[in-house]
Amino acid sequence: MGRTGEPPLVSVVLPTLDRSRWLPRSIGSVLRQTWNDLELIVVDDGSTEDIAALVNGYGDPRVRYVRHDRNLGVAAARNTGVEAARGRYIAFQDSDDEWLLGKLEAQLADLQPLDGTRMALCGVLRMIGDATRGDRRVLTYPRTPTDWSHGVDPRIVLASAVAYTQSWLVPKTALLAAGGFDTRLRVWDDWDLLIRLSKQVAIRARLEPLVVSARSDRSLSDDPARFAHDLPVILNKYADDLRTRPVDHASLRKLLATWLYRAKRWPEARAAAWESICLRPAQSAAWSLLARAFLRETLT
Amino acid sequence: MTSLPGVPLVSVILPTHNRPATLKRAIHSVLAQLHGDLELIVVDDASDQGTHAAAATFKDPRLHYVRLDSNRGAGGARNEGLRRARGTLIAYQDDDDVWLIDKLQKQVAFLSSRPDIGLCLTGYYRVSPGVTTYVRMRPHSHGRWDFAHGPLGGFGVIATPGWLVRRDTLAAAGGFDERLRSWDDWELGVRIAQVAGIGFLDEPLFIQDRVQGGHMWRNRSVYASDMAVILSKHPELWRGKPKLLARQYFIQGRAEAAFNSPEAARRALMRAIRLDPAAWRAWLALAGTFAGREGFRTLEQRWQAFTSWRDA
Repeated sequence: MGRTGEPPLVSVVLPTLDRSRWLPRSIGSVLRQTWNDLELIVVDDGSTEDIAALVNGYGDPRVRYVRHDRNLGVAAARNTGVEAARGRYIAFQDSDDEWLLGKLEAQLADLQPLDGTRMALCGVLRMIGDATRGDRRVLTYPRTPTDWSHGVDPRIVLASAVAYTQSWLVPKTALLAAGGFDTRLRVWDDWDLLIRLSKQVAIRARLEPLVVSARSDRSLSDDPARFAHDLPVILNKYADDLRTRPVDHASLRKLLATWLYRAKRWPEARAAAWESICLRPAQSAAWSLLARAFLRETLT
Repeated sequence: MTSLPGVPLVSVILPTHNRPATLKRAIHSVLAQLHGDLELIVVDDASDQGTHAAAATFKDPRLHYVRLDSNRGAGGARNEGLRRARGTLIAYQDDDDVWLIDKLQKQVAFLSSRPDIGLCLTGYYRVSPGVTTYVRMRPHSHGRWDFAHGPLGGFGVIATPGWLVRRDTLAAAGGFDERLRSWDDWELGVRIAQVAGIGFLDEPLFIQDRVQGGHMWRNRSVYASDMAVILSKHPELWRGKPKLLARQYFIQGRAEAAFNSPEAARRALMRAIRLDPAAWRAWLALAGTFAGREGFRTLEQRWQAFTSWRDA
């Protein structure tokens, strides 16, 4: 435990936009960690609810409150938190989520010796579906059992199209060197940063789920337009890396086509599906998407 | 809901046997609950490893440690814990499981708003090597808890770490039947249903760890004796339900054939067949009993492989 004045080892960044109903759980699971040498920076991204009062109510000297006067988006809020962080290692928490109480301890053990050359990653459990329809089920990260015993390859990260900041423990130096969250992105700022981080540091990952994520009533991820917006930006940023990985490039183009299709942008969806096919013709799903997008385009 | 000053609202009973590593994690997840008005009674069921030392690392005055000098099994340890409990609401924790920090808060709120309910159940995550599932404990249909389907009958396993039960309800229903080594929680559920309403929350509020933990107390070799106790104790459950009763005898027969006595197996399987002559599985198992215990187990494995192939 650090003495007053000495910075803690870990800074936890928790951006929030209202959601005060969920904060006791997300904050509680950080403050009650078995590893308690930490500071928790709650970044209020222009909430209308009184988050300051809630945060000050804890009376815990490890909790800090930072506010944006207007809503700048979650990527900017995380960057604000990282800038304000005094710890050598940074973790992220979402307002809706819960950390298992041994998360930091386990990830710090994975990173020994703490020389800043590695970041840690863990499994995440997430509930999706509708309780009223009785179709709730669990989604795991990673989706299927993966061999992470030798770390996570940057090329896998590039192809993955998924990341959970809540599962990370990253050296602050690596975050700064990688350049922080890209505020142009609306949903994939986490995956985008992980791609850059994977080039800075090795990733020590454990499959064990140490974060529990609940799908709350208002989720960031419902709008296909956000995904359709982000993916071209990312494909552009990493065009050089993707040139050497045509299979992954094809799969990401197909993913773009899928989101464009869901966003009802038929001509663009058709074009993206065709680009994917050009990179790798043997993809029946891409042909099917091409056909469906073409039909929609001609019928409307 | 209020309690007397100085008396915790919730008593959490945690039986433990030889699992000091996961025990610390289990204890911590109880003491860190957002609803902190609780006492935690750790009942050491005659462990021979560092259980006391593990519990002693917690300096929380809400934690009480009790040691049983001879092994009584989970049900006996829970009964012993209840004797020392002071709260009006009773919860249970297993030494290899983890509660999410809002579990008690949500269950206390549920019981506060539903005076007609005596036992509140929750769903949970079952984390196994390679796969995690969400298990709900909920009624069969029309909101009714139909115990005639038996302990392997489908509304999941009634896992005690998911319980929050009123003290009064337990007083009326009785304690865990210590003759049962596997299904004592299910059987107590039957008695609770006779005196109180059972409700459930459809969300995962704890984690059952099948990776680091085990299911020490769910061992197929005790199914036969457990089923014999259950069938003799609760015949009324199966009145007018011959097919469901046949299924219970089938389960008993299989367990007898695989672990105990082929003759006892044949007796149970014949009862199943008499009740439900169309139960072809019982006929198959009956034939299998002539292969002896190991032979029967081998046949079971072949059958499992066949059905996996067929259903894949």
